Amino acid sequence: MTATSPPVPAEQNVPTPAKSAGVSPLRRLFSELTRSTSGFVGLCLVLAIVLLSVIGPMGVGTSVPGDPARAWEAPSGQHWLGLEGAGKDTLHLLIIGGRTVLMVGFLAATITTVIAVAIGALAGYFGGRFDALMLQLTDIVMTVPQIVLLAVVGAFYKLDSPTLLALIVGVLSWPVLMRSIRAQVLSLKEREFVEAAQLLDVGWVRIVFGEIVPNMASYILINFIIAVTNAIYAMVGLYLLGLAPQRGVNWGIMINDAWTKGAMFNPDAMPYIIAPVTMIVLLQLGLILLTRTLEEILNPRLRDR
Amino acid sequence: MAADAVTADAPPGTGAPDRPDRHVGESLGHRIYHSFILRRLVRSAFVIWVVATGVFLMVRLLPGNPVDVYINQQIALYGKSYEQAAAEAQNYFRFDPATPIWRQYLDYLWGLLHGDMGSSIATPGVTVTEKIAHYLPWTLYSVGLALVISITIGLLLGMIMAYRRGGIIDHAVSIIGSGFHAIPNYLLAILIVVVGAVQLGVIDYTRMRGNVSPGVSPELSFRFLSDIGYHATLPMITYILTTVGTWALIMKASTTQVLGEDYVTVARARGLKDSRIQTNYVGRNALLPLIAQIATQAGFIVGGAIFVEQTFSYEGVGLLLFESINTRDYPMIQGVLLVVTITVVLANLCADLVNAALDPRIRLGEGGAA
Amino acid sequence: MPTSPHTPAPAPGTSDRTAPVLSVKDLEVAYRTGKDASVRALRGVSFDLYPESSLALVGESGCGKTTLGLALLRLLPTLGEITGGSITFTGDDGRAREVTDMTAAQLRRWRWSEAAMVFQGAQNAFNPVLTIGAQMADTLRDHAPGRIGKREILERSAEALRSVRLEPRRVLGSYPHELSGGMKQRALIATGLLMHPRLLVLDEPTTALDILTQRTVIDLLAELREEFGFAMIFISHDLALAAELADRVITMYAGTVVETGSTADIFSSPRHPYTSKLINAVPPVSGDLAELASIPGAPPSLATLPPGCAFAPRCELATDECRAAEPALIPLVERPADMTHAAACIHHDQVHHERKVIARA
Repeated sequence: MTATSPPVPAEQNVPTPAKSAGVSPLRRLFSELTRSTSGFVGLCLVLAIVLLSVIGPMGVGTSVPGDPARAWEAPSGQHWLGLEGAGKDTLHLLIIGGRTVLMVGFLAATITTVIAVAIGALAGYFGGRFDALMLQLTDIVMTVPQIVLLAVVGAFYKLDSPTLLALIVGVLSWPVLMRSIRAQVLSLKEREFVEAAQLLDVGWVRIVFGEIVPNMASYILINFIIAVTNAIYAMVGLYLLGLAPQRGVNWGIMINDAWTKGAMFNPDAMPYIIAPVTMIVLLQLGLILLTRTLEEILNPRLRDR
Repeated sequence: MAADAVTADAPPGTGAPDRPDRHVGESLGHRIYHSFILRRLVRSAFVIWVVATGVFLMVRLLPGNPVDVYINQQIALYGKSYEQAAAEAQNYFRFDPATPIWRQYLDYLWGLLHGDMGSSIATPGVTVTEKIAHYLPWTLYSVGLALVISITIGLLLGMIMAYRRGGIIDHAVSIIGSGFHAIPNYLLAILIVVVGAVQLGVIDYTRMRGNVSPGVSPELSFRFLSDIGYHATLPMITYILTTVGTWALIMKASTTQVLGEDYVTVARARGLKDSRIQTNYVGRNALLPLIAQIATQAGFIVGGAIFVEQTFSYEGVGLLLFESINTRDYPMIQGVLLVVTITVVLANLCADLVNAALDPRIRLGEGGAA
Repeated sequence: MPTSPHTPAPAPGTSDRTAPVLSVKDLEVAYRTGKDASVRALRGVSFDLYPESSLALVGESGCGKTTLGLALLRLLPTLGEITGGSITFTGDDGRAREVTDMTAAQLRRWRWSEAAMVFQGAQNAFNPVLTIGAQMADTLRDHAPGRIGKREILERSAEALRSVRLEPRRVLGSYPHELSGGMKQRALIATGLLMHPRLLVLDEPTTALDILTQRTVIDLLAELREEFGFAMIFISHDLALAAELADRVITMYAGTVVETGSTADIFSSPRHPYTSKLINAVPPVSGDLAELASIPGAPPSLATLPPGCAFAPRCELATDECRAAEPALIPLVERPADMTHAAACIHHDQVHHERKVIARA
């Protein structure tokens, strides 16, 4: 169950990527991506936010001085976004607030993708009882709304560190992804190069992870990005619920601050709320544009003539 | 194909059955249909059971589980003995932590079957079931109504987009849909409040929050119905805006595919009226993939309800869950999780049944040669 | 542009009971391939079809025969359009109408009631969520001038199904996926005959079926023609089918008519090299061909046609004169009712058709 449920194609239309000779498929993907406006915009957005969040803190420093007497000061030339409840510079907080979000998002997505690829590839390739079991399992896990499940887990067990958060989110999100991977593996399984490898008696490990999976590289990339959007949605949600570690500064905590402490209703607090929300929305938007464009590239049928 | 000559295409006069299979199959077909329902019911019950067991595992068996935490707390803070603490726990969780595990599990299941999910720790004296029963209808109302509106609008938009590809509506909905898709539903709710109410003042937040205006009593009257509609507007708008784009895109993809199918061309060749083709030939077939998505989207909306209801002070199970989490009211959390899951499972079941009703291939099984 | 020597088409609006059902003149169809580019799929096709006669359109894939069939009922896909020529249809009432000029509403009424088409591949021709009976009822209802009662719908549907040897009780209540391929094909034909059209166009009616079912359908079509008296055009690459069912044959190549004539004339003495090769490519049942003849080369790409005769690159009789200008249809043997044997080849007298059959020992 994904927060940003992928457009129909990710599951129903299984694109068949060509095995390329010469230019690496990822490079070709990249060049085609930059040719489409929405893909280019998406890529720029994501890169901009990543750069800001990774390099920004090195520039402005991670400690933010605050003078409570100047709480909620309006934006000025010195403080573009004004000051927040403890007198700290909102813009400064914004810049250093992205790191954790990105880190958790990408880490969780990586965990999800690795698990989903491993299980999906094996289930798709071997079929049989293992496959049936996995399908049943994913069916059941997908029934519970992801955020509710995460909220409950977060409530029962303390999520002490961002890494733990990423781990939990990552581990609980693999079912949906696994189905996509499995579908793709099922279609690739019938191709000649797999048959050839089988005849060569190469051993299933090499076939599955050496032949099939590399052929799905771009498809896996798309699903990885979708997993990132998913993870970010889940993570920010958990921060809002106060279930994620409230230490440090990140966009999620900023919004949680505003939400639970009533800053929402304070007109002066608007920049403090809107800023992190905007960052998250822009990030998600960029990621979604990327996935849409990548899907169109892989599956030309989707392109509007 | 060779079966053709042997079975179905027997030349006339060679004993073609007077009561064709279909009539015998009438009762057989009924049986299959019913067993389809039965099968789905059994499957749904199974899923619920698995989730309930999973919850039990989390609540009771994993290290650091809430029951142990509660008991230890009682012992540490109030100096109670283990037996006393366990007895208190039983009050809330409905199974006695001192008894063997299998006993606890059975008690737990037994309680569930009787609708007994324990008592609230945060509000003593109130059972979990009571409280949920009070909050659940509001969520079902707002989410359900929003889902219906969202699907209807999305459906119409999607069909228009498919018929007029590249047109204004196509581009507009794609862009706006993508935009809204990128906004997590909880953030949208916050934005609505911050921008709409606080900044712009167009939304009268204080009047619109909550479920119902003070002084309006629940009765089947226009006043009551319009009042709860008024209060449900903000949460519903949030749900609708975040999902309508998805529905439109799914419907567009589905309709586009159906429009390319042979039977649509044949329908035009047959000189059928356009209106008939659009509804019975294109519409009914394009709808099918949508139904499969209903349960997923419903689950997604219900998940978002946790935040949306909190933001708008709308007293549904989402708000309940949020509060329970804050107060660490474990029996309540557990109860809400189960109820939410059961709701989604039932939604799944309904979607499957509707699908079977609309698609004879599912209802009667993939046929092939009759 | 090759024109066929035939009687002039009746002017639209006049009434003539001996007129041809269909009169096609210089029909041109193009498919849009890009923003400003298009490909000519039909380059001036003309023929007349008389009542109750049957015509076979044969040729390799891509020669334009399916396009022609679709164009006749104006069912071309969105990328295709009729760019020239005329299609004149004369109905039971003797009135001649211009199909190319019909409005959408007129088309809708005309389609199926006067001219019907049975498409290639019956697998997906029926709406999967409605029963066969419901779909037949839809057809009748949307064509009825006023209200039409359930009883009448049932009777007419049952009659149509019985004429194709299907059991109404069984088929009417069935969904498409419950019927076999052969049954679906026959149900499709039945639906086509529901309104007793004057013209029936069939696109590859037997291609997707097994041998036995093919036989059934072919016999059925012959009987139905007798019973209902419609004019039939069927499109096929199967010459054997043509030999069985058609009164006359038109061979198409690269979007034009290269030979036309009665079945007897065409099969006994084809006068276009292409037709001759087509016939020779069919192995006989009685013995072996001396050499299994196939046609060298491949069908041309319609986007890059050579000047002159389109078949010249693959023809051993080709001379410079052939490549200079596209040959017109040259009438060879005059016959009535547009059965004149004509071929678009300037070397038609050099086409020696021999089927060297070696009888099996």
